[in-house]
Amino acid sequence: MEDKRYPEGAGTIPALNIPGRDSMTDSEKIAYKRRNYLIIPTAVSGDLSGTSDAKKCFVERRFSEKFQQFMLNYSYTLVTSKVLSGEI
Amino acid sequence: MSFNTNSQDLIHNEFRVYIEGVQIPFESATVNQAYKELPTATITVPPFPGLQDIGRNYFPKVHIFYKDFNFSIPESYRHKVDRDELRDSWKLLFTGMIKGVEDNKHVGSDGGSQNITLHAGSELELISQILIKFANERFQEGVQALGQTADGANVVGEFNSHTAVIKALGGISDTTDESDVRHIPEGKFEDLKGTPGILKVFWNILKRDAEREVLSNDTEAMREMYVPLIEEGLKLWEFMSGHPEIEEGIASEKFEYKIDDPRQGLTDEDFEVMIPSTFKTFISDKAQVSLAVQAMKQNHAAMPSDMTGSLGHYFTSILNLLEYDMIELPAPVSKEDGGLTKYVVKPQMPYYYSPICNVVLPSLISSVSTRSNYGDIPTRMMNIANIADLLNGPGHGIGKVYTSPHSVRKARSPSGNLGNTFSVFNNKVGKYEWGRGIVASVLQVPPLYNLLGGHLKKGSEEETLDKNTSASKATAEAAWNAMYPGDEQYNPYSTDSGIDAWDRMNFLYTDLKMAQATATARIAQASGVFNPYPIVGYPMDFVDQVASRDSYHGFCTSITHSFSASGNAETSYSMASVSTYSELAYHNLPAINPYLMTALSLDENPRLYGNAKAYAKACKVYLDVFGIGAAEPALLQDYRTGEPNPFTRTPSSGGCWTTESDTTGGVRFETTTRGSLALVARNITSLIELEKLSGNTFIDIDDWIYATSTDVSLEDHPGRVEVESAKIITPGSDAESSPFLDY
Repeated sequence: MEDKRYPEGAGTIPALNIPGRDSMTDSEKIAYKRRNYLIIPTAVSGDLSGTSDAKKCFVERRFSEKFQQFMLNYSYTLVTSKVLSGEI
Repeated sequence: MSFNTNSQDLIHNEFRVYIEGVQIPFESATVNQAYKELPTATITVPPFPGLQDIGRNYFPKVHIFYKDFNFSIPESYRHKVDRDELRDSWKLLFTGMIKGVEDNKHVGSDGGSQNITLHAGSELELISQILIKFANERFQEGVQALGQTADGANVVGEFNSHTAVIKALGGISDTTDESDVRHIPEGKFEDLKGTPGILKVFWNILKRDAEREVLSNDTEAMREMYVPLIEEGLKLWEFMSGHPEIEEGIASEKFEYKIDDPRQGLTDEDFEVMIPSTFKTFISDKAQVSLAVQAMKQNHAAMPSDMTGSLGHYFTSILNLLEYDMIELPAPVSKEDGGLTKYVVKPQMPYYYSPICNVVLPSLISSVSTRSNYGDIPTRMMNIANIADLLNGPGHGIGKVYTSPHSVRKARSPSGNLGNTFSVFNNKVGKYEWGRGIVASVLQVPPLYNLLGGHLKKGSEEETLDKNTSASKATAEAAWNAMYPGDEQYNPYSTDSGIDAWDRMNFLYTDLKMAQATATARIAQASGVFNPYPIVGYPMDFVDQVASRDSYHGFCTSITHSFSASGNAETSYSMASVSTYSELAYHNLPAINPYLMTALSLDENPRLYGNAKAYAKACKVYLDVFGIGAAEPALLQDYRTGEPNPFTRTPSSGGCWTTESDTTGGVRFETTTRGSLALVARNITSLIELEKLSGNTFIDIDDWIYATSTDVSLEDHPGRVEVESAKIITPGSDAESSPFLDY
């Protein structure tokens, strides 16, 4: 069976290149913001828990502020119309 | 929107889901609870990056609320009421923690779907994390045996000792002084007296062991984590209640118990103990105390190793021994003082009145089905005291056989009395067995009762143990004679029937098992419009308004609420041990233990139909804890015709139903769905009440929905990873950490 349709083997292994932020297109920059930052409506910032301390959250059953920010971002992204096409 | 086809009104339900106090959009959800299990929920939500990881190393809290129609405020009127009033209409349907996440995607030729399903469990599951070794080591019992005392200078752990069992049986005291092992939270005496107090005292002993750090045992896990979690985080004792009307007779009657055991450092020391309901029988006080203590000690000693045994194991095992349940109410009771009741410790009572919240009225049912397995019903129950008799013939053991029901017992000794019915080789046919043959079910005297036999003298001397003067026994004896006139010599409550106290207990136990076997042969299911009020683990009724069909009474074994964000919602129910209303009226079903028979005023008349005295007691039992009364079938149905009776619930009747006549504007219960829900409603904790009790603030979508793009701030994503030219520059974190917590 000499007929190998798919290329195999390599003389040199290609370098691993992960594109940096500078090379992003505008839409990629928006996607980057979406992925790396949380959008928090300022109207509710005063209602956030004020702590993400593990003991307070587990033992005293306080809400974790970091978690609240993540869920607010989730809600805000889904509920408002500011959703990028194909994002969800 | 759901449309209810069997009634006159349209019902549109609204639900809200909050994770860590933040309201989120959802697609659909279910809330499920089965008897003897803790509530669970599944919530299906749109997918989102990172959402599939939210349960890793931290179980986020989840709350589900529904909008109560009777508190709802029309949209056009909203601007006239404040935010708190609006939020008070949102009532709790489930509270728990997310323990699992499913990420699903399907792509097909005709489209696809993708969603994330969050699986939530009860926060009470955390009690199973608490290993006894966190506070105490069983090897300390050996140290104790060397003469050191639990209360003396050389302190050792007490939880595993027999002393702990005795103290727990002593119950709680109305004190908040933590140096007293019987202490409780302020104002909780009525709620925790009796059987729930046994659990509380065990907890206090474990907590005290942890505080002492005996034998250099490091108890940080208990002192710093689990004690504040249970007492302040979950507020277990604050949110717990028994049924005071049932527990009063247990808590108010204490008996002296003397311990003379130098190995435990106790010499002739007096304790006062309660007798839990399952041990309250028609034998002497001393025998009852002995039985209760021995059984509790045996149970305590049979627990798993402290390395693996958890407090959850202990509580479950103790409750099973006492024939009790602890029911978690996913929709807690809102109390008048602003508190809530979420955990109810109650006797197992499959044969009792339903609380009105457990009556599923015709307008609430869209489908119902029952199945009766008559072939499974035994015609006789044979309770063998010693299996050796059965195998080798009389004389090879000390045992006897106790038969049920009465008709079979009478056939076995047609001209004698109960004392002549014991031989296993007696094969007489019962009167009603001529109609269907003999189907015998054999069981053995439970170890508990053998325990009594082993610790107390048996035979003729045992009759001195009998509480012949007991008023409740006399009442039960008279009630039995009324059911079977002319058969007094077969009355198991009577001392003239040729049996002793030991036999009496076994006959009553056999009758109980026979009644259970008869009733468990029928099961039933129903489903219908969303109904947040029913409670698992209590009796339930499926009511039919058509005279040609019967209504059903049974024991609720599961409830499931299924709903979607669009408002479609359904509640489904399962029942076991089902009887028809006709059977309730027609048959005698003696099926609960002697103490409960008396405490619930069923001793004069054990039927759950047209029983005014027992009904009044049942209303008190349920009003104390749920704020609502009981449902009496005779109130719902005119037995003569099978037609529904008109009844209503007014401000003056409070949580109880009252009969109305048609001419005075009485309402037939089939009228409307909304009206039916108002008839069975109970007060459930609201979002506002929960905020006040927990100190946590819930954030609604309404709070920010009108925010513009400038009304938002950008915060770093906690799981953010920075990448620069083929290299991740963010330091790695431990796999056992959560990005949402600070450690």
